[in-house]
Amino acid sequence: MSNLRLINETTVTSSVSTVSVTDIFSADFDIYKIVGNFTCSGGSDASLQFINSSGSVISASSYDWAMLIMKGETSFVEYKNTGQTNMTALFHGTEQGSSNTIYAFNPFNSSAYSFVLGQTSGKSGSNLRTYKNIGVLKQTASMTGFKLTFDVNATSGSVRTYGLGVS
Amino acid sequence: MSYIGVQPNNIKQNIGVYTPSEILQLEKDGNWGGSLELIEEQTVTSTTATLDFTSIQENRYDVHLLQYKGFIPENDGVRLVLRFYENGVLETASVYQIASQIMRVTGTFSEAKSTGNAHIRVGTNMRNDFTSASDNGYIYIYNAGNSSKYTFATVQTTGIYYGDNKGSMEFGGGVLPQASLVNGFQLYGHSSGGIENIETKLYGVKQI
Repeated sequence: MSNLRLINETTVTSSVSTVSVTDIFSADFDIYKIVGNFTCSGGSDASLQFINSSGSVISASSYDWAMLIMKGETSFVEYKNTGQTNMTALFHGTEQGSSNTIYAFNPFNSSAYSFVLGQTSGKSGSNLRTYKNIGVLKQTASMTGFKLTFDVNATSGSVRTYGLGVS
Repeated sequence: MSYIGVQPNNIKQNIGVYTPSEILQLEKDGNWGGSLELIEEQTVTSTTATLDFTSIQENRYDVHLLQYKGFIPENDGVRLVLRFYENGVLETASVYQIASQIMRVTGTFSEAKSTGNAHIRVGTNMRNDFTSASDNGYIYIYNAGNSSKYTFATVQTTGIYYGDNKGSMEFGGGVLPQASLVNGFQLYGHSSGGIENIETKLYGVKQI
């Protein structure tokens, strides 16, 4: 039995601008793997915000992030920012689906910051876009979920959250 | 079913018995067993041109994880690459798109990119050297079994670059930008040489 445990699967079956996944982080795991696959007309990035145990979305200017955008047709580009209200472009969706794998570290730990690592493969127009992301929520508070906000509505897809167990 | 929620952290073994109906319900909910489900293991210990995965259970999994370690090429300078079978036919045309960041411990980092490649780049250019060099990594593959979606991949690898015998790491991705049913994967050595050694494991990532 592998130590990866499926905790939640949230599906998108109609046009939505946000997807919230709640009550998934707990004391059972320190590290979570989040796998997303979304269909969005025209292509879309999605930002991430954490949700605390009261159900409140953390929208304070407490997020730092950096990413490398690897393009199939031209030079790669770095983006980075501090003191933001979300982690930009952690997820991506296109008309033909996409691939997003994110790791979240310590989200439930109230004495540690919540960190993420991400890697995404998608498209802009007809060209490949691969993202490599890092991010941190600089708050020592317990997070129990997350919210994705799409630039362009997602019309279908899913996001699955797994815990990485220690045996 | 008192073990949901605490099962990952059980400190005792075999502390309860599930009924068949409970097992069926747990399977339906996705809570039974681990979430990396081994589909196939393949090991190469003598030179082969290609390594095919043709029973990938694409109807059951929308995300696959292909792990490999100990890749040694037949000849110096050969790199591991990935191609897809579409309805059983290997796509060999220059239709793949790739973008990867190459980080070597010597020299500057560099970009590998193409909008018309004959494969998806996986690892670094390796040496035929069993004593000090091997390439290791993992690939996530998405939407293989969905004939209305493109098949995407993300890759992360680490190995020893053949040119200076120093460490090299790559991360990036690729896409087969054709809405088609992908029902097989192929690893092979690019270029001018086969696979002399590799250990691979193909997993399906559980979904409900």
